[in-house]
Amino acid sequence: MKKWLATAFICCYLGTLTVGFLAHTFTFGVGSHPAMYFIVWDMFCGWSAHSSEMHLIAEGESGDFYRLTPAPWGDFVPFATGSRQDYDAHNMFTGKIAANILRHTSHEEMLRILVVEKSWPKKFNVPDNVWAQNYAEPKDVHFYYRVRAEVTPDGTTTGVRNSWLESQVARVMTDNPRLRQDARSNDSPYIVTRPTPNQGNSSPALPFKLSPNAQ
Amino acid sequence: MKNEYARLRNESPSLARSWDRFFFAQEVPYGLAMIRIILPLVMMYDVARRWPYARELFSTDGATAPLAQTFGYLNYLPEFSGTIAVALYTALVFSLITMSLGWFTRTSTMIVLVLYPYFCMLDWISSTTKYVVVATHVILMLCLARPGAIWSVDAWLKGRRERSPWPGEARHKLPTAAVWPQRLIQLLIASTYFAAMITKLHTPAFFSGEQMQYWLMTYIYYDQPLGDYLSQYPLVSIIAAYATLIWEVLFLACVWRGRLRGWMLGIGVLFHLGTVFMLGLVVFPAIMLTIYLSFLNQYDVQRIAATWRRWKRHSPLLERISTRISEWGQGAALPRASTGRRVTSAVTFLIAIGLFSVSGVALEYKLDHYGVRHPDGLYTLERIPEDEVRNMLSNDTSMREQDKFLSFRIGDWIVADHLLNQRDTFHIGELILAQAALNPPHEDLWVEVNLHDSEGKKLSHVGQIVPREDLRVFFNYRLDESFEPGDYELVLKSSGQEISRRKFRLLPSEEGSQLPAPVAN
Repeated sequence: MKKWLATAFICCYLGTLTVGFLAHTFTFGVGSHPAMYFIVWDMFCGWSAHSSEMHLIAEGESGDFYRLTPAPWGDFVPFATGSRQDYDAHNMFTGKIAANILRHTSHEEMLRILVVEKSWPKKFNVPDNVWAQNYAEPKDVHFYYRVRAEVTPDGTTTGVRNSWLESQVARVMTDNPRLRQDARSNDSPYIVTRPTPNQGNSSPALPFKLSPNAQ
Repeated sequence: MKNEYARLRNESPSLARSWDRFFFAQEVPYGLAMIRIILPLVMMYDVARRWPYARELFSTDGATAPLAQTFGYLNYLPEFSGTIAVALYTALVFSLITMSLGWFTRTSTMIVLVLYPYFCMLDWISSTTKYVVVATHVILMLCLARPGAIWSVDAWLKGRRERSPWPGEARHKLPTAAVWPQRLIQLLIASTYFAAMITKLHTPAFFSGEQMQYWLMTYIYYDQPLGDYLSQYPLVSIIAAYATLIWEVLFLACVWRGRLRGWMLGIGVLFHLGTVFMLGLVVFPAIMLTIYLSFLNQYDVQRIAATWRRWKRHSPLLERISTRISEWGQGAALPRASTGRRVTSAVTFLIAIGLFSVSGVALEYKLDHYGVRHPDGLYTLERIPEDEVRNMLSNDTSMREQDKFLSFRIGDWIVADHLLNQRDTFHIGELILAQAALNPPHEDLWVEVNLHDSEGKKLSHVGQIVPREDLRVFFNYRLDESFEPGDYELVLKSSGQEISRRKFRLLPSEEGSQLPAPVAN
């Protein structure tokens, strides 16, 4: 009896692994249920040419802006450098994080919270000695900023924009006079749509879709 | 053992016999015992670092980020108040310790199986990772196996042996169990690699070197001393990409027996160590290398133990240490198993986990994560200077021209569409290859590489269109006798702006220099 139970478990387990493998191979149903995360081995998905980090700031009634991150009690750093909110690529939880910081701090009445993305090319990440060996020019890093989301002080997201990188991809794609003319004349502009939550692990370099009249 | 195999052979038809032999052979679970001891300690590295933030990450008094929500499932898992979350998280810490020690091993393992994925799933953005998934699968297998059969406090308390024997020198027969949980861990590892191979096949940039090159420049994990340097040599990434793919395909087929087994596991160890030094991964390789122990069967362990005994005989120090340990094991009182003692032991375990959790809650209260009981009141927020605010709200829309480029190099060898070497001296008549690598995304660009003399005077210019999908562009120069030996520069320009320049020295021609010379970097 015990052996039959073990055999049944082995079959179920191997079957489950097979389901995950097939779902991953054919990209079908990968985001259908949280359990899929536990059987789909899609690590190592993609990396972009730009680094980014998220800054949460709040605007008070006085018009002054306040820094919410790093939190006054210290940000949680999951690995070596980036803070927790930096890993929220699609800003699903940054509003909640910001609201939590507001809830536990003393401050004036706040009007809104802004999620600001700071980006820069990864080539500037290399240590100075490696840079000196491989680049003739000085290390002149420039940071690009983009407001990604607007959130009410209670954490409700009222507006979301695509990432700086996605906006650059869109700019590149529409850098074509004929395409722009076609888009205008057909009254069906190409709009960059945000990835669905289920694509949470997709490549940061390719997380957009172009679709006419996308909502 | 032999009788068992013979019985299986006689009673089963061939496929069923193979199945039985593979999954139901009886072995002393050395491999699982080692995993049980080491895996919780590896997991503890992550778990302990999150403990001071448990209230913030995992409770209603913080900001959870549930994994299920990213799949569109709201309120999928219950969330508890700060105090309860801290108590449960502290219980997880306690259970990891007792699991490693092997005290109430199965109970501890089951608590870990419930609490570890639960907490990780409450914090998708910074706690849910694929190594959590791997660890969860393995813990499930440990629950179903006999995790505390050997090398555990449980085994010691049961008085199954007079002293802790080295493998192979047991005075009493060590307990055996069917190997299927161990086999499923092995299959998990193999299938993980196979699926990772599929992921790579889905990612063309992996084989052109770009993806790895950018990952080597991505500092979201830990220090990656080798990665810093290798990021400048994408050809290494390409070679590693193909080697990895071949290994991941072969692993599932070749890891089971013979010499190839050693090769597959050896390459695997090197691969995971490589991810430490190149990619800055720590916990993932530690977990994978730990569960590699599932490939150790009892004969492997007994062989290792025999080697140890040989060493021991030749080393008085080792002999002394070993004897001390054995004497300690023998000297301790070994209680006899009885129902009353088991009940006492269970009550002790419950009291210990309760006390540990309550102490954790008390400590967390004292640490006062949010500063609620701070004498000066709640923390205040830092006001941001106006200039910085203006900068942050600038909403940059265009990219600097130089940021569209990754590198600019000159050399004379191309392999796999990458410049293999870099040179700063050339002979007259030699081929000079200039490579500009671009960052994605970029629009269609007009890129020039112009030749300047030492005084900055432009001698020639060459340009070409670089379509948006291209990430590398090459320019060939062959300077003939009409050029004087001396210092020159190649200047990279895009959209009329100078991006970078590379100096080189042109030397007089030498015999045979018409052919590209294989010059090392």
